[in-house]
Amino acid sequence: MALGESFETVLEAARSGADWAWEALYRDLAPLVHGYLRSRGAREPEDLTGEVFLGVARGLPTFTGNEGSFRSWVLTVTHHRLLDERRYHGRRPSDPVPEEVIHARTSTGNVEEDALQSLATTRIRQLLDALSGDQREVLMLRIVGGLTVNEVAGILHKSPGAIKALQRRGLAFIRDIVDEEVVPL
Amino acid sequence: MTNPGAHSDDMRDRRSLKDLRDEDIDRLLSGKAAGSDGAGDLAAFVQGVQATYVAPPAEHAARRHIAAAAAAARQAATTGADLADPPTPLISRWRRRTVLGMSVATMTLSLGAAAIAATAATGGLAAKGDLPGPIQRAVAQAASGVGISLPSGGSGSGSPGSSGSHAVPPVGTGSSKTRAPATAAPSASATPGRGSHDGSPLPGGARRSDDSSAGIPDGVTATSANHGTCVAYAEQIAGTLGLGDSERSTFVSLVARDQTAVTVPVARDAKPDAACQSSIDSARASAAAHTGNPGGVDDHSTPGSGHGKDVSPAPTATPTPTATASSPTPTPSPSDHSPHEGKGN
Repeated sequence: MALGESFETVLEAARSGADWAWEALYRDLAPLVHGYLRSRGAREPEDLTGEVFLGVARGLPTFTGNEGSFRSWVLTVTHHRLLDERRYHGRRPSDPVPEEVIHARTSTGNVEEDALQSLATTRIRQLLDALSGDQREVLMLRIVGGLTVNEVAGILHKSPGAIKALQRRGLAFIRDIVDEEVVPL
Repeated sequence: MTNPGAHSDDMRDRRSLKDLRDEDIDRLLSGKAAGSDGAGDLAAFVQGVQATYVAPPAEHAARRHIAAAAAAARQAATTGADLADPPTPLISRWRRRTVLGMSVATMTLSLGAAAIAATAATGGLAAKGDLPGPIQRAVAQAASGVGISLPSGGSGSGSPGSSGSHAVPPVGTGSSKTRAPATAAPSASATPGRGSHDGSPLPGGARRSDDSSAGIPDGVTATSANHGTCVAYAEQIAGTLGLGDSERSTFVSLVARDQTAVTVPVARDAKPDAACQSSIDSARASAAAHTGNPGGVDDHSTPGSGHGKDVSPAPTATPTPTATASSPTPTPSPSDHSPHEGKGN
């Protein structure tokens, strides 16, 4: 909860369209939104992040709740935008180049660091790909989105017990894979 | 790395993290678990996921997003409208347009169908004079403005012979040139679709001239002289002229072809206008002259002898033995079924 006690003030100012308030909200939540979209394989995560915040801005007059509720609501909007994008691309299939590949080919930093980062990214991606869709969804909302079990349950329309079971199984599966391999993460 | 076989429940359940409580998992997934908690491998995984994915968009994109969001919030604040759905260029617009378009189209079609049905029902009832009195009078008055006479509702009934017939039928022969404009009286509908709609040479002639005993029915508003009224009158009196079925049909057809035959509505036993009477006399003479020539001018039993085509004062068709003047149900000509077929075509 990055905003803490100032959340109410920031939210009120954001409702009236204050740039500084939107800057604060965006800096706090955009990494989670963008990260969640990337982890779930969105084709254009940056553009989708912009659409999410547009939706948040338009729906803000009707929002009530604390900072935790706000974060959960923003991630809910994000989740729905992601589903929209998937439906859209389901009707218009394409084969885009993964974002990691583009970053790897355009990076101009330290070569060794870039290589290690690329390996780590690939490894994480492989582990996530080994999970079932539901397990991956739950773990990304919890790890990247920073949501609680109940908040994830609300977004995915499942019971908290089902969310707990999914995350437990997903983590157990990750542990199995890691334990079977000699090279640690 | 991806191993499809690894998705089996056996593998997933091999270790169900029984050594971790829910609180431990919560701490682990929030990135606060230490490696000493017995979940060092999973903590590394969580940190790796956060390091890999949790990152803001590029700065130039962030600037654009912030400005757009602030502007949208200002707009939402001023309008007070809930615009929770952003103008997504990808999907939502197309879906809304499609769904909304279908709804509007469906609604329009429904309203159109309802209007047509109501008009048809009202028109039919008005032609029959079955509408309630005031409504019938109003409809009759409105129709008279465009030259159509309908029962005004004074007697509460229409023509005895008009039941089931067209409200404003084309008179006679199926020829576009011989088609009269609107009929002046429901009695004109005693000749609905002759030779063109029901394929019977004397669908209304024999039948309606017998049924129609009162001539001009009550409630018919006599307006102006027209051709349809004369044809209707001719058909009414055809049964009293001593003509056979075929000759009666010929007689009526000849009157129908004479566009100068016009009259105001008259009772059967009254005299029509001179032009109509003259046409009736000449048509009667012509029809009578062809007595004994059943395959003649209006022989519907001869295939191809369309009603509108073959009627002429000097027919040359070959007589057909099967079609006699007493033949009550001659076979209709195929051409009779085409309302556009006739000599004018």
